Amino acid sequence: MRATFLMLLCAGALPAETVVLKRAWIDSVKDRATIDASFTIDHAHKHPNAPAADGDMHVAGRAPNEIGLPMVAELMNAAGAPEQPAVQLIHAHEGNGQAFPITGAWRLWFEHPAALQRQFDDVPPAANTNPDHSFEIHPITRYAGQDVTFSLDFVQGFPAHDAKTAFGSYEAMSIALQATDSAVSMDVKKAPYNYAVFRMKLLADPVKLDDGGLAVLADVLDNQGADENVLASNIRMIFVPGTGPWKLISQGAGDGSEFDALGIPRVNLNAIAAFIKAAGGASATRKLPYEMIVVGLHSAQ
Amino acid sequence: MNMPVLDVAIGLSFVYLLLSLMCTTVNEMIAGVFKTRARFLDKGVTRLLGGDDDLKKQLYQHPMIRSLAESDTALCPSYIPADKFATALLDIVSGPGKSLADSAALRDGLKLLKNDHVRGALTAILDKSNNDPASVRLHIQQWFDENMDRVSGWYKRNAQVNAAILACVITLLMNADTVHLASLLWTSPTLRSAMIEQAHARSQKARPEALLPLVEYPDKSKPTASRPINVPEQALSQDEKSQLAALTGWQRERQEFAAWRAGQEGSPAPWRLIARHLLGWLLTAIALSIGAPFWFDTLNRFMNIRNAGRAPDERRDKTQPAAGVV
Repeated sequence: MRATFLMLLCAGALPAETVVLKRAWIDSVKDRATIDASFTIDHAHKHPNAPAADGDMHVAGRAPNEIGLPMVAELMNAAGAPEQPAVQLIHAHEGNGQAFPITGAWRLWFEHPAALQRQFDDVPPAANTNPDHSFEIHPITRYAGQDVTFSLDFVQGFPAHDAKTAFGSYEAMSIALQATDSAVSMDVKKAPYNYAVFRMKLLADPVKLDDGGLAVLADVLDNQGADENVLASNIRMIFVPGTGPWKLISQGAGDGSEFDALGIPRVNLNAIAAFIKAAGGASATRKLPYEMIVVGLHSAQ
Repeated sequence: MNMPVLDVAIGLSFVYLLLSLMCTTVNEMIAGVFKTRARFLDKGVTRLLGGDDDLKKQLYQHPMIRSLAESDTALCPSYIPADKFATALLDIVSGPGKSLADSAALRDGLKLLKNDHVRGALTAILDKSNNDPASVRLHIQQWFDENMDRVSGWYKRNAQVNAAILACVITLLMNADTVHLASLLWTSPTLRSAMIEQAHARSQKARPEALLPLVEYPDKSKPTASRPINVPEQALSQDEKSQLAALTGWQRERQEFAAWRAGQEGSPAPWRLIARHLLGWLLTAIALSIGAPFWFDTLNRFMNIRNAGRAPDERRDKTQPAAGVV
């Protein structure tokens, strides 16, 4: 721990980024797959990323009441025909200053972090489609009344990161926590590997989350080669209600079932909430607890 | 394997590990209370800016840096990213309203700068960068990073000194006399076996410097019911605290001192009480200053020898999470 403490001293050499979240907010989302918000769009990609890049459409904006952090929302498979009504609405609303309802998987991750972000401080309008942010609604499942739950699927032509590389990185990440009665400060280094393909072996039956989503603990297996090496154990897999993966996992999958998945990592706020409740104001540097939002799924071949 | 010498060695390693963990916990508490990180960063920045308090104050007040501090009253942030430092310094030196990419403005600003140290450094950087703004910025970041490496060295040395002082303080407070402990363990098979049991439980836990998980999921069918593990207040378990209390402390010395004051015949004088512990205290203090990770590894090695080899189901690398933890 002393070594970690020393490492954190010189952020010039090893930059750590800090996010300060409200504990009440953490408690409200920790066991939900999704979040609902009123979202004002500042900037949106003119065109979605090419499928080879990930096929997402980035939308930068603000939701000061429900989220209170610099953020982006991302629509998966955004070049697809069924997604176009939502894409058109996004462009129609871009920069008009009006807020529209948005729903999607909440995602706290540190791919594009700022040095310091405090939740519910004033959030200025985003200057571009990818401002410094640690919070995302990714993927979007509904925008301004347009349902896009079907957009959660494998992205044809997108070579997501292999399980060994991605989970090797996730497993080695650390987080420094310091909580007060009302807030918790998290110091985390920049996190790579947005999308990962992997095989998962369920350790139990899925259970319902507060918003109708599903969660299940699973071992992550190497999806390359014949050996089923366990790359990570007891990872919470999160299924967004109404999506294809959610429907498939609902159909009797249980302990021992194996699936091939495309997933997006996010911080496991259930673990953070449980820990800071027990630790009080004590600071601690630990392994980063993460979970995977499953956005593509099929039974293991 | 029944080897009293080995069991005494395990008992001593176990006590050293527990006391070292106490040292680590207290050391971190002190670092938190006295904001050691921020103080060392401030010292490094002061040196970097040639001791110019006015320039340092301007730097800390710059919006890029001020927003990093815990509060407006904080001495300085606990860390400053190199790019933020470069931006703030260029902005201050170039003057208000000037573009950070304007090398001419930077040179004009340098002429007005009273601080020879910073002026010399930035002039050298400008010359080396052929006035290319991106290169200037990069070189300032490198300048900052190199200085922060030195700050890291100072901090490490300071932490080592603090650890040694704390080792002495905790040794004396706990009256942890290695010679006395070894004697107790050697003469009491019951105590030895109790210690072995506790030491075995401790050796199954994660190495002190390993990256520990926050929680575990004891019931796999309840992914929303995580249970925190190794919360900071629980550096030592209740059993370990009891064991430590049984082996250390001043109770016997207090009784002997009271007897000496009452003039009982054969009671040792206070200086004799201290003298008989000196060697033991010295050994304990040296042992504790080595640190908890060393004693954890040593304890594991002794336990493996005692068990005549590692059990087939024992995880070799304890830095990896056990089943149920995330």
